[in-house]
Amino acid sequence: MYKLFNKNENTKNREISKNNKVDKGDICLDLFKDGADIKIENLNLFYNKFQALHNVNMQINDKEITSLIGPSGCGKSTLLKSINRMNDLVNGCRIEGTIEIAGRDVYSKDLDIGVLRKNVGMVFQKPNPFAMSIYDNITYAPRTFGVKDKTQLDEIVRTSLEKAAMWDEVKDCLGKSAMSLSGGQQQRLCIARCLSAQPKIILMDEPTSALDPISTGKIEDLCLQLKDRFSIVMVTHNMQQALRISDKTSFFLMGEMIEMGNTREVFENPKDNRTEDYITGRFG
Amino acid sequence: MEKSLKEKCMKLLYASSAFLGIAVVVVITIFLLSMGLPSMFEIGFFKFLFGTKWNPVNNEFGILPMIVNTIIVTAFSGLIGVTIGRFTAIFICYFVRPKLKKILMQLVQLLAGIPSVLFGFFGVQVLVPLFSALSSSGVGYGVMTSSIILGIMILPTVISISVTSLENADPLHIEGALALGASREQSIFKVAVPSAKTGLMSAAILGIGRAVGETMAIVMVSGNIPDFATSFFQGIRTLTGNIVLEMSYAEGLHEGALVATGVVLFVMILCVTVGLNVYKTKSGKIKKGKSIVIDKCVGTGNPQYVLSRSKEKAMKGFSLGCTSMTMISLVGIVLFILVMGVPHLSFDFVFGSFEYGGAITLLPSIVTTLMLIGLTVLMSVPIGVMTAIFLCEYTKNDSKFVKIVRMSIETLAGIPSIIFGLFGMMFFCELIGMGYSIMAGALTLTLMNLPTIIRTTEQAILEVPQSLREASYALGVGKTTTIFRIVLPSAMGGILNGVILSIGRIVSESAVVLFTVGSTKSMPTSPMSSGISLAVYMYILAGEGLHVNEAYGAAVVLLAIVFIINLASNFTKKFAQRKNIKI
Repeated sequence: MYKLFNKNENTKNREISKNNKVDKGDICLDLFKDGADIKIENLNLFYNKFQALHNVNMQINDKEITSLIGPSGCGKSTLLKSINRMNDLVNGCRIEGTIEIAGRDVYSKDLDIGVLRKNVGMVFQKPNPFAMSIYDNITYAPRTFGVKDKTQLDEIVRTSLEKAAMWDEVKDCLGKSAMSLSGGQQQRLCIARCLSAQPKIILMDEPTSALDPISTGKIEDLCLQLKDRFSIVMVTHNMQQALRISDKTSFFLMGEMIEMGNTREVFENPKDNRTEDYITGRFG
Repeated sequence: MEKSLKEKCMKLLYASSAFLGIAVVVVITIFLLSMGLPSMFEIGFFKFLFGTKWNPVNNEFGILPMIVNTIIVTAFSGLIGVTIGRFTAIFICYFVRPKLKKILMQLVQLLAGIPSVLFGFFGVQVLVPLFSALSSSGVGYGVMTSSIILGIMILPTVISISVTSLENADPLHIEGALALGASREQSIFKVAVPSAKTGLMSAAILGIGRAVGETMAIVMVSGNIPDFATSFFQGIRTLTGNIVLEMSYAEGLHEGALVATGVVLFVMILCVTVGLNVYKTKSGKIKKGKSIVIDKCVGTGNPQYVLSRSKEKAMKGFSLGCTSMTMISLVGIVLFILVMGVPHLSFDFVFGSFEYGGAITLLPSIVTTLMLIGLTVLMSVPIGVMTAIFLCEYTKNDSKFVKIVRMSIETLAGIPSIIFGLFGMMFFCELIGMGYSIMAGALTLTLMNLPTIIRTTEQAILEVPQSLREASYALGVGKTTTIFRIVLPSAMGGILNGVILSIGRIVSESAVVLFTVGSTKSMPTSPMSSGISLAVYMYILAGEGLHVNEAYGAAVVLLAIVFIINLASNFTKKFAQRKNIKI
């Protein structure tokens, strides 16, 4: 399945292959072949004069779910968006420090931002399917990366939807508009769409905050299934959710990372008073 | 990095089409000045502006009477149009049920689509005989007829902008006033309307701007005597009329003097636009603090904020009266043309083949109009859409280049069609050597329609949710693909609506077409051949006096096309709304 992009050795990819020092025959847009650990060092982020992140250092492991928790405006989402460089879209955003994925600097000049985002998928707070059919939503990214073959596309649609646990629900109505799905289905479609680009890391920005409890449960189950193959970084406001599904939890306050560790430890035995205050509901 | 090279190329393409907007304004201005100013100084600056005699045969070129007449007619038509328009807007906004409001607004839109030659024709056929019977001088042309026709013509502009600004006024103001014990009329007239003052004022200024630049209708009903207006019923000539009437045969200094007349008109319009901008920025600053005070004053018994019971009734009644007048004038014009014109319609008249010296047929003019529409849309839509993409997707709002682009578009939108006609005639037909041709007309109409396309596209693109762009970018998809696959398809309904609106403008336009395409009645054979559009043909038939019945028939056909365009526009609007519904 990951050989999908092999045939499509077009000029667009040559630059990356050069950087990657990979054989021509093996080329696909995979940046991170051997694991996808994220290492963040001395990260400072500014929106114009406002400093949103203060000297953040953290290590996020491959094939784990990492939760980022903390009160609103503490910089969790900002950090998440720095990893796939979505912050580049914000005017006046400035970044100091480094983010490395599998040893590659995310902000280096010879890394194509499109290829980076293809490898680091993102799921948003509100479901945002395109106003097209379910099929077209999922083939949107592969097509842009040059996959034209119909059977290949069909295959991508099936595997992506299967991984997102909704193939059985929608396999008979792939031509239906994505807008006609329920909110929970839309969000899972967005996850499937994200998987269609075959990422190594999935960033989730409060993926269940706009959903009902049943849909939330489904998405959480889905995350646990996906963990085997992807690393997931999730921003959440729901403390129980972090406790239920994440391996590591990291607590943010006012743009600083206060503490990070195994989820159980952070929740049961927090090292910092502020973490304890937040978890026990004294503020936030 | 071939990918980013592609992105860069696209950005350059968008930026250059945005730059074209600036270039057009600069070229028009420089061209007009370079053609007009030398003649103005040859005649003598003061002699030209303040001379009271216009007699080209004796080389006397004084345009003071025309300036004064333009100001008089604009003032009276503004008085009529702004008063009726504003109270109609108030009535539509606050005193009718939502369903009726929708219908009334659609009628207003229809009124906006009626070509100016039809207004002029209605004036000539109905108002002129009426006033010549009523007035002591026995003349029906002049200030009175012109002001009424112009007043009706600016109604749609005034109403639609006023309604928008009333809708945007804070609904809490009314609620606040009601909660304090004010009556409904009190809260509307003393709180809601004053809080929308800036918007209402802009509506008035834009309406007046339209009145200054209106040409064809005025030419038909003003009487065209280049003398000061001393009474309401006496032939007069305005600046725009002066250009249309004599441009076709003017030469040398005479031609220069007419261009200089255009320069004066241009400056007048520019003053209106600049005045509007100054007013907007000024009132934008004070508005905030003021409206809160109004809230507090209602119910305190302060006479400034209280209406007596009888006054309340009078105000409401007046609004109703104004609304009825608006609707009566619309229905009156439409019905009159239908009743007079339908009996003269026949297949041969509309679709008969053209023969020299044969019976009158509209077919060549219909074909010419279609060719004009096709060519103009083909040229204006790509440029307009690319400019809008540049403004929405590639720029920060505060950059200097964007500000200049926006200012240019606004200026371009304010330029009256007669100036475009003048420019097109001298630039495309004469300087470039296209002669009177459909191509020259389409090029001129393209410049004229750019602001409409740019604005509607921009609006439609801004309505596409940011979250969709984010989703696309997060998948690693580049900007160009995102714009073409995600943004433009979602904005398609809005863009289509803009295209239809500009088709409506092309169909109604007569001054530009008369100046650049000419008035050859035969069948056009290529884009480079001269022709006559339906609106111009109607104008000529109406003016000749020999073919009034045929003029009525042409008017019906014109009206039918406007109806169809209106329907299509409504349809695309609904289509756009349905597509944009998000959960």
